[in-house]
Amino acid sequence: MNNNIDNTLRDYAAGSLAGNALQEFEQRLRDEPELQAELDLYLALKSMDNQRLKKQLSDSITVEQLSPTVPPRTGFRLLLQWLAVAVSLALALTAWWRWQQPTKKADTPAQIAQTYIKEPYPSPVSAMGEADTLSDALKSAFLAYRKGNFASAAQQLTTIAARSESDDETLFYAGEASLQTGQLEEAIRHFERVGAGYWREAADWRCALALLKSGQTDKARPLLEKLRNGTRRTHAETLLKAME
Amino acid sequence: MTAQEFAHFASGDEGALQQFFKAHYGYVTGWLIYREKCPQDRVGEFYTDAVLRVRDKAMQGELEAGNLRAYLLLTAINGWKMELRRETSLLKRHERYLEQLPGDLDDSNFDALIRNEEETGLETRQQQSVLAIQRALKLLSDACRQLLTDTIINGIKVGGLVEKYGLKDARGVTAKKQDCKGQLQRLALQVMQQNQWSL
Repeated sequence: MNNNIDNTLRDYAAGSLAGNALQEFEQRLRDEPELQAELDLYLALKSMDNQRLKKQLSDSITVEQLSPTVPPRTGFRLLLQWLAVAVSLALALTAWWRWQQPTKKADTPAQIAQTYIKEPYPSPVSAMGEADTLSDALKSAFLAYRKGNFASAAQQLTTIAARSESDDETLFYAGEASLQTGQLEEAIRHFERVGAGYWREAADWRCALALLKSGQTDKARPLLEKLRNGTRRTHAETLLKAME
Repeated sequence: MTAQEFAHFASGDEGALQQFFKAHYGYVTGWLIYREKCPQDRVGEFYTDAVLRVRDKAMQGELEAGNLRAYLLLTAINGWKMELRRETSLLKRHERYLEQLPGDLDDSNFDALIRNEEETGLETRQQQSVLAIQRALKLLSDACRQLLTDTIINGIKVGGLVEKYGLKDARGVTAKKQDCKGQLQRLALQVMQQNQWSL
């Protein structure tokens, strides 16, 4: 056998030939009886020799107590495993943290009212020339309100509001300044004196907040029901829902 | 594996083969089991096949001393994947058939040893050929059998066998090889004729 045929014959016997090489070789086996005889001889000798060698080698497995070893982890596999551990840990910690958190209770009407009260009603706006008609006391009280000095504003406005001729705007800001300083009953009293007109709805709204803050929900409810029909509908409904 | 160890391995040295087999057994069989999901009870078979295949390649001068372990692993994985595809090499089918034959193969009742083609994976003609050559090899002298194994299986060049067989020169080895082959063929032919098997 020449060396090239020899190698092809070995590859064919081992099942390593494929494609055209395999087809060509099988055709040659059909056409050349000598080649077929060479293959038969090779297979007979090789299978016999392999049988002998395999016996020797398999004996060494028992004698040497050879055993399979777990393949080392590759960098990528290791990274994936670390990532899986990290994600599991993060999930477990998040679950534990959430479990530890006290269940958040829904806000009470008083708490919701406080969030609205915290934002003072906008300061009085002076129309052109109006400043000349306002009394010095009212000017000073409004100035204090504008500056956020609600205690001073409340004191001054309460004094002015005590007069019978006080207008609704003065009464409203007397109530709002009192509300901002936490004088709830005083604030309610001022708001309730506001007459029908532009300031009435604002007074009802701020009065309802003062009533809720002081725990008088029964009195606040009709005011809020009334406000459901006006511009403060969303706020009023939020509070009414919280009161249910 | 050092260059010297590889030289021994590639020359057909069976001691070097044993060392090579032991050196990579754990790694390759572990890989087959844990990465390729090869059943543990069959892993030795695929590993041994791969070792013998790598040895053949090395003896044919088709391999270098480089990363033999990687080549061995690839060969073993290919063997296992062939099995998964239900493909079995012709050589392996011959080996399996040979395993089923009685150890003391004599002339008696050879026809009883011919099995179903589906069972053995070998055509009737191929089974007859195996039986005839096996019987002929038993009748052949030890020296002839060894010379044929060295030249045909181990691929040793005739020049390298002059001293081993006490012959005058390479031409003497070639002549002896042809003589042994001729004897073997005649003996195999006799077995075929005795059993009335067509050639």
